[in-house]
Amino acid sequence: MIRRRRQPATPLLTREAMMIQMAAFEHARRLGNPYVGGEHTLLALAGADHPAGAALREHGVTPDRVEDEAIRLGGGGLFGDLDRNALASVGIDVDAVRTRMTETFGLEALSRASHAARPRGISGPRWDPRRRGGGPGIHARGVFLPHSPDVIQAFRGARAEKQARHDTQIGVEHLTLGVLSVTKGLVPPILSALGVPAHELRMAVADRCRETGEPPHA
Amino acid sequence: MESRADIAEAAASADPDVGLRAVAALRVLTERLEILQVDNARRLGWSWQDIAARLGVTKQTVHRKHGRRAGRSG
Repeated sequence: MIRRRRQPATPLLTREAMMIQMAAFEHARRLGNPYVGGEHTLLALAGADHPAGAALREHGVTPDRVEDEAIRLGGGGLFGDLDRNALASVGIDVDAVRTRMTETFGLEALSRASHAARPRGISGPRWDPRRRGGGPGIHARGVFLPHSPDVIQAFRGARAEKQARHDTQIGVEHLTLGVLSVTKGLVPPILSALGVPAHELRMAVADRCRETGEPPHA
Repeated sequence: MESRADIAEAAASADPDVGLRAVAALRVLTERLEILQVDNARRLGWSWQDIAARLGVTKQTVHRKHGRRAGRSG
């Protein structure tokens, strides 16, 4: 499940938030991404049976639309994690590369290739997550997928939300607000492609969770 | 998100941070393109020898790297 260096007395995440994490893990597996990213977490939240998920869907952030954008922007995961600004500095437009490759080989081939392209430093099937240096990620059903930097950023945001509200655990609401605050990865371009400003979504989620009287840690 | 002008400026200033990140990203991009192209070549029935010649490496190298994955499709 969620790997941490030490086990606090109360689990860091609520059961629902943990289930969102597992759903994100499944989305990453299904889309052929070798990591759990903000886009998978957003996808899981958009499909969640929770006021935060309802608020997202009301604003057009539905699982179908998020998935379409995640695939379009991430190229089936093969090019999604590349440092596009650095590549632009040497004249390479990752979007153009992805578009050409998708046209030539199709999304399925890109997805297959991204299964083969493991994150750096991970050698393959013989790789044992227990021997890795404590990096964050999710280990389930014999597979370890590392968290991408934007998920780590989202967790930092979620933890800040939890502390600001004096809650004991990170719940779905905190996680949603955390994901909506990230500046890295695919979440900002997905939201701008859907035409929904992140700050509006954050307010809608906070309002909806307050209205329904849903305790944030439920 | 940096604008194009910012990126151009960063490249022109020869900032090692940007330059080195670009090199690292290029390496990853090359790896990904290699996977796509090798898989495609194997599907089209190319031999490891032919693929290796185009990549400028030995047959053993390309087979070691891709054989397990792309070996069965060809």
